[in-house]
Amino acid sequence: MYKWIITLLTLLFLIGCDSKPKEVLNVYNWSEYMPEDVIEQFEKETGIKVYYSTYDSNEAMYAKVKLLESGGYYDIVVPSAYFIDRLRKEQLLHKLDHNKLKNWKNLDPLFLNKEHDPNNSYSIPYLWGTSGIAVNTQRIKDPITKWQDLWNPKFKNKVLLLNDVRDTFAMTLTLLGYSINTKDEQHIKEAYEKLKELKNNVRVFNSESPKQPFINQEVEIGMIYNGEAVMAQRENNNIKYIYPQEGVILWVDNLAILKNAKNLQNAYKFVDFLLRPEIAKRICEEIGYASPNKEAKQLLEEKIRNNTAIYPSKEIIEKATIPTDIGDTIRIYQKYWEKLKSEN
Amino acid sequence: MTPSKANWLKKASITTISLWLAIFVFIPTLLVIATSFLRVGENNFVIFSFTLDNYQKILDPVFFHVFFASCYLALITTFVCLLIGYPFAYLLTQFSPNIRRILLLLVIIPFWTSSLIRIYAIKILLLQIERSLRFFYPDVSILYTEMAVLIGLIYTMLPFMILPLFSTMEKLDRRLIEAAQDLGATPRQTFMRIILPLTIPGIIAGSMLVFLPVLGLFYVTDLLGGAKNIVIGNLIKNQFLVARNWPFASAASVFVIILMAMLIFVYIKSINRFGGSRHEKVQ
Amino acid sequence: MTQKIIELKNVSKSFGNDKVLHNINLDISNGEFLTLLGPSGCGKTTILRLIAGFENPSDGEIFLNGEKINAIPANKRNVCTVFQNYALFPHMNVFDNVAFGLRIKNLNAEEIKTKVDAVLKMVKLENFAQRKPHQLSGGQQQRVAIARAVVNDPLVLVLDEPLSALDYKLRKDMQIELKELQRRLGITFIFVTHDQEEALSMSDRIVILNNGNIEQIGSPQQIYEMPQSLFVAQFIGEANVLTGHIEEVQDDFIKVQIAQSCYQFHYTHSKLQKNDKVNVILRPEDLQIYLDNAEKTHCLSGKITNIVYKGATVDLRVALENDNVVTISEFFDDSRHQKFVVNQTIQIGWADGVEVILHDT
Repeated sequence: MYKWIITLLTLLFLIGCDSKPKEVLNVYNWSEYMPEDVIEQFEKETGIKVYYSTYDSNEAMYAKVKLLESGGYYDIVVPSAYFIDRLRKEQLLHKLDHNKLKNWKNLDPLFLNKEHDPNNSYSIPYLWGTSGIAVNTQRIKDPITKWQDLWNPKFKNKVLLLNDVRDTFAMTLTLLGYSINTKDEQHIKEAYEKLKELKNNVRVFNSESPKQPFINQEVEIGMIYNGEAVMAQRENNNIKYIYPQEGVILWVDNLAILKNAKNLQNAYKFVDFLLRPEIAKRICEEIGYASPNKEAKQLLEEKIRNNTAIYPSKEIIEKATIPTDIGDTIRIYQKYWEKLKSEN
Repeated sequence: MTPSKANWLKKASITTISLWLAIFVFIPTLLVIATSFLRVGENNFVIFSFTLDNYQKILDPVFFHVFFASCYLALITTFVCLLIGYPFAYLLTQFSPNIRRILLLLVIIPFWTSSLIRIYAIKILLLQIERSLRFFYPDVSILYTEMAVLIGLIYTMLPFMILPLFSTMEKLDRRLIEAAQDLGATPRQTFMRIILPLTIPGIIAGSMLVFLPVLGLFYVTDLLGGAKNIVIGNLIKNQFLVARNWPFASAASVFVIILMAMLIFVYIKSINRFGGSRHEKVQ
Repeated sequence: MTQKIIELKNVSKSFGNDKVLHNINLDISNGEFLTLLGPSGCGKTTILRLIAGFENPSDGEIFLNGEKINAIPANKRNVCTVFQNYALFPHMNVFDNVAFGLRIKNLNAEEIKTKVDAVLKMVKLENFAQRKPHQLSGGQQQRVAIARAVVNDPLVLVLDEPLSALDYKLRKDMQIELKELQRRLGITFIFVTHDQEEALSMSDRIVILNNGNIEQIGSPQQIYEMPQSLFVAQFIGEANVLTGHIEEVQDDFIKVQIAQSCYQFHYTHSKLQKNDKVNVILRPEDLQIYLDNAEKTHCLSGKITNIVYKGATVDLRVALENDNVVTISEFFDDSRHQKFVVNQTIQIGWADGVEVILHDT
């Protein structure tokens, strides 16, 4: 009996570990966030085999990285800024040696040395975008310029909000003039009360594919990620992306090497490869978000380069804020978020 | 097959199933229960120190609000499923076995497609209906309303009500119905006094199969309700992932598990009470 | 005869293309114990269901107490049924089962209690009122089923193979009890069975059915001693069938050729003619064995092939010269039967008049 079980387990084990090539790299990235041919090209050039796995939320990535910390299962992850902040503080990231990255110079200084990672000791910006307002100008003739416009009682049951606690609170906090990274419960509560007033206008919360309700004309105005807005625009030219006066929310997804990475040198090689202008351009074209690689931007078609929805002006970027890690305060946010949702 | 070989196979399969259950059901459940008594940590998910705070938090009005809102949705869904499913299952039993098999297959076929995909389909359907209706009533909304959520839930859960009802009704001895008629009962009296009491196990089984999953079907409220409300499933998921409050999420899970256990207990009791149909025939 | 309680006039019943009853005519008198007997599929249960109201006749008319009841549903007929597997309501205790019909009639609680207690006492179940059906033995369930029916004072009680689920001993006891009950209540019983012994021992009259037709109606004695067809003869009891043909027809006797011998019977049958093929039916207990070679009027010779001891009786199987095999049943007598051995050649004879001669159709 036991012999039988042991045989079975051994077999399973053998199936699990096929003969691995010597040089490997384990990449853990968002789903649909890197073109396959980019990976293939890297493998061809270096002979390093890339094991690529994906996640759908920062939180899921964080839980796995944290729980499997000692195992060194992943070499590279691609967290958003506020999770870089958290992972960095929890000492889960490898401190970068910028000398090993000869393409570092290609990065736009606008996106370097931000609050979530001073001096970029732990992260390399990969792609970035903004959250602003999308509006169907065919349906809404009033000029839309600011976040406050969403509260207009005319838009009852016509507004979309992102189904993400940080994004939606960040928008409201900006509107109220507070930091989007505030840890003050009073501010959060005020934002909650402000949002409560908006709830009557909200038709749907959606952050997985906010373009869809706009394309289907289920909503006429609302919060959106710029990349999504660009795609919606392609379907319906009346949909416009607007940078609200109060300030936009900037998000940056970053490459980072984990502290316990088993294939450190390969990870450096991979990051440096991704920083090449033509590779960064390829990624930018395929994924549809803006690249922080200034050399890559020059290689892009003019039509894309000059699309303000993708590449806003320098002033807007400078005024934009990036969400950083707020630690346990997230639970307060979550509490008010649940309260907002559960009350009618 | 020799008896010893059959015995060996039997033992092997029982061991495999037990191992499977132990590794993937029993141990995780124990872990959830254990976690629910721990404190939440700053940089770690939990701190190993005993507390009952997480259970106290269940009494929090927000949690209770979510809990009752979920139960309300689940109750309405269960009730409507029963209202539709009962006559449906009864009609099914009236067909000849061959047609019955085909109809039953039609009830089961939707299971072959992911329920998530079917909810997307319902969403598109509701959108089209809404658009057509707007020609006549410009202000009507169907999608992203509670009505849409209920339609989605009822659609998803109806087969879970029909199947247990069908199986109890199929087992129902026709002669009992004839016996009631024979003793003077009208069709209505026969239904109230014989058919209904004898199908109670099916009603309870179906209701449980509908009620409990609805508490966790967060994607229906997200997709059809526009994520404007949360059910207990959303809450637990968000507490685990977003708020990283594993102990509280675990306590909420344990609470739901206890609720389920209580319902199952009621179910078993009712089976014992109404299940006299286990005729011990003296031949 | 007394008044007719049930009349079936030219009743036919089909299920789809399958005609299960052909033109049945049957009168049932008030207070009689009538048994419908036949092999499975003969239509006996269908007749019962027509009377109870679970089926409607495809053709013909049914009268209950002179009133045509073709279109009256089961719950409006004053006919009660005892089902084959009793069909007791599993979720109710014995009292509630028995009280069911009375409650439907909206009797007051006191009246119900009096009636139910009385009928439970009658079937000796007064101490089991609170039990659930599955806590009772088969015989007890049977009594509950009867009590549940008779408590409603039906005009007619129909019983669908009510004893078939019981073991042999219990069945025998219940046969006697049922018969007594029927006598006491004075209700008409229509009893369906495939067990001929049961039918013979309980019935006032027996209706023999085969393939949806009535083969014969008569008292048990008429059915047994004067079967009108080979089917009835063979279905009821054991029958030895000797085939032969008519040699001669006279006013007060006929001569039949069986095997090589010719036999003369005091028999008048208007329809029999010379050279007609006939079957001569002889019951095993009517045959005797002769060891000596003395010439008898009716005598066949053959060889013993088998001897079966049955306690009170002994059965002997005998192969005749024409290869017919007959069974002979005699009361066991030690001194007589120890002389018999297998392969012994013996003579068989019977008393004049016990035979039944049927035209071979």
